[in-house]
Amino acid sequence: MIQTIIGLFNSIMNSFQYKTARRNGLENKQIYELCDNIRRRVKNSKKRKNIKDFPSVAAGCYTNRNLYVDTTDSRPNYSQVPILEHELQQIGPIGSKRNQCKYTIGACAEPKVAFFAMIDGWNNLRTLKFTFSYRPRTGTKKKYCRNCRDVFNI
Amino acid sequence: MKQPYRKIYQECHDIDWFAICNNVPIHVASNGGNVPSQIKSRDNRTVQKYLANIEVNGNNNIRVNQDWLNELELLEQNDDGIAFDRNTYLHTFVEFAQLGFVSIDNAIINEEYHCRIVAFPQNRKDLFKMNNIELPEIPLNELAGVDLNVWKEK
Repeated sequence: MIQTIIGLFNSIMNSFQYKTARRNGLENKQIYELCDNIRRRVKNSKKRKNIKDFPSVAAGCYTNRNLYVDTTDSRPNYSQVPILEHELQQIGPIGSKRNQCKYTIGACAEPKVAFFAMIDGWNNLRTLKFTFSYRPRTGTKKKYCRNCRDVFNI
Repeated sequence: MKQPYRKIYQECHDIDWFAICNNVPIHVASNGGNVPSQIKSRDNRTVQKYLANIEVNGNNNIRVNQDWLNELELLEQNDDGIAFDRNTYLHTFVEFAQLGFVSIDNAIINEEYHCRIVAFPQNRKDLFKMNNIELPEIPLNELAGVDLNVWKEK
């Protein structure tokens, strides 16, 4: 029974492995290290013949409690966080493109990490701080796109 | 019918795609940018799996585009406390150059995509031999801004 509870606890914590970390003033370094882990994962996938493509961006945001990091390889259901959904829809329908930016609204890593922060209980989008975004393949920095700059004022 | 990569997948991933351009086998890291429609996702995955089985022999006849690396180092200067690491940047490009491809990065400069040759086999005889695999042909204008003078035939 105790082992079942421990196993359940570990699986919940593992699901947030890349999503939360204690803030220690080294937020950018943690995104950079996440990129390291992604490179290892992609390299290992080639050995196992189940080849994965690199995600294009790894990004993070932090509150005074936690750091949230993730990549662009999937998109959450923004309707679960109406505040964030509303902010994204201010610039256009989620999933569409606008003339000002070449990227799809809601597809970036920045709204995704904001989503996880708000799911975790943070309810003030304006006080979220974002780390630098990195390209996992090379560890080089990526500037925020126009959509993210307009939605999050970064 | 074989399908090209979906647009949203292209945006969210940094895809290694392979083709022939001007009779030269090329590898391109898409960096979230456009992958030409001639590149079919299943065929490209087959090529990736084929190349994953080839052991890289540590071919030292590889040249790296130092001009591009110097330019990139200047672009990467920032205050995140993480220095630009050439080895981390180069590792996948050198790997594919060792396999015989002219390895190209679809880099973002001033918010626009520009192709830059990163690494290539020094001699024409070291180019990838397509004995068992067929690569699609793409025109040079699909590689925006690439400077072929960097790779001179020998």
